[in-house]
Amino acid sequence: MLRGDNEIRTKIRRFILDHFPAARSQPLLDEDALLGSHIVDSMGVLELVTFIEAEFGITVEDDDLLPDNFQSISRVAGFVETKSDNRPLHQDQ
Amino acid sequence: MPPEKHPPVEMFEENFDLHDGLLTLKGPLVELRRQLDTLFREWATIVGAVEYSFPPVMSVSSLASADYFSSFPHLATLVSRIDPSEGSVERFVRSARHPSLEQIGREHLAAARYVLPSAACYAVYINFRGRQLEEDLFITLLSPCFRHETGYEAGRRQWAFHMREIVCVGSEGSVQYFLDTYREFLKGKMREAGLPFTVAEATDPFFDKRDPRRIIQRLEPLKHEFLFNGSLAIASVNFHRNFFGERFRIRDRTGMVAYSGCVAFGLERWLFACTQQFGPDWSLWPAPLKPSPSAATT
Repeated sequence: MLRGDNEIRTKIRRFILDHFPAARSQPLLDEDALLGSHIVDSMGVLELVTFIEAEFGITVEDDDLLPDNFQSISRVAGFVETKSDNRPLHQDQ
Repeated sequence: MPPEKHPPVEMFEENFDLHDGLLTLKGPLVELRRQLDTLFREWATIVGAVEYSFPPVMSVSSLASADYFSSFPHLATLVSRIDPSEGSVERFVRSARHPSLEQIGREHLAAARYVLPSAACYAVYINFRGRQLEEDLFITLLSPCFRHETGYEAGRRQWAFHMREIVCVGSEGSVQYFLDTYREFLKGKMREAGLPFTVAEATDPFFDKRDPRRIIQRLEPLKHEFLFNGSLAIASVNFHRNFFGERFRIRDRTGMVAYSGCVAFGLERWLFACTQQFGPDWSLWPAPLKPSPSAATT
């Protein structure tokens, strides 16, 4: 099932707000730096990766672990959308 | 005119022995390694680093605090002893009375409580565990380091080698400034010396590709390696964020969790790189790679 960009962003935003207290200290914008501003800490980044894999049914490969893909909510959403589009279709789909 | 290149193999063949990843150096190579370490100690004075000498082993419990055994189990060299419980030593002595003994079975060993370090700077965080710092710390230390690897090459990859580090623990801004300073300083020195190098983002050799610290290293440029001839990492500049501060409960002078970073030099790799590039005669090495006479005598 294809998801809209907005729906993906909303789910990622909710996850970040629920799991990382630093994200709740000020309004969280789609373009805010997640790592540089310490909204997501060292240990939390694995939680984020695990979440998007489970929630959106994608696999984050080693080569996907690039700053561009995880810089902000927008970037994560864009990455999820790209991975979803490129996901191989099984015969029953 | 650039100095004539001396093949390292020729230099090393005459002055080293490598067996099971253990490197023995002799004569001029020992002196060259000493000179290089003197040079790095001199470079540590830029930030007024205090030299420390820590114990050569670290406790399992200390390193476990830093997730060491889930992050780097494949590198670890454990320290054990003959099981001291009643009758065990006698049993071991009876079994070991032959000159061709090559290994000691686990039935004779006590559980390992200590580890030989695979990097020097753990000792700093262990030493300052639970402390609030009055000011930013700048420390330099030389440590023998041990890493089990799948293969060994003299001067490039050994099981046992030496690492000189300069470490900063303090506020985030201080650590970032420290790392930026050394990154530029090293570029300048290596360029001035004519040592061919590139700087590359890198990750540590974590056992698990999903180790959170490995992921964060891929997503943020936390580690930069200085690669001799594009492939051999002879120095690295590492930002740990506040990982060690959190794990070892170290606070900066304002009471916040401390940040840390380090600059690391692999002495045997520098020895390899410099002898390859400049030859075995230290007097012919370029000035930026020679410690000042005053540093050499301290």
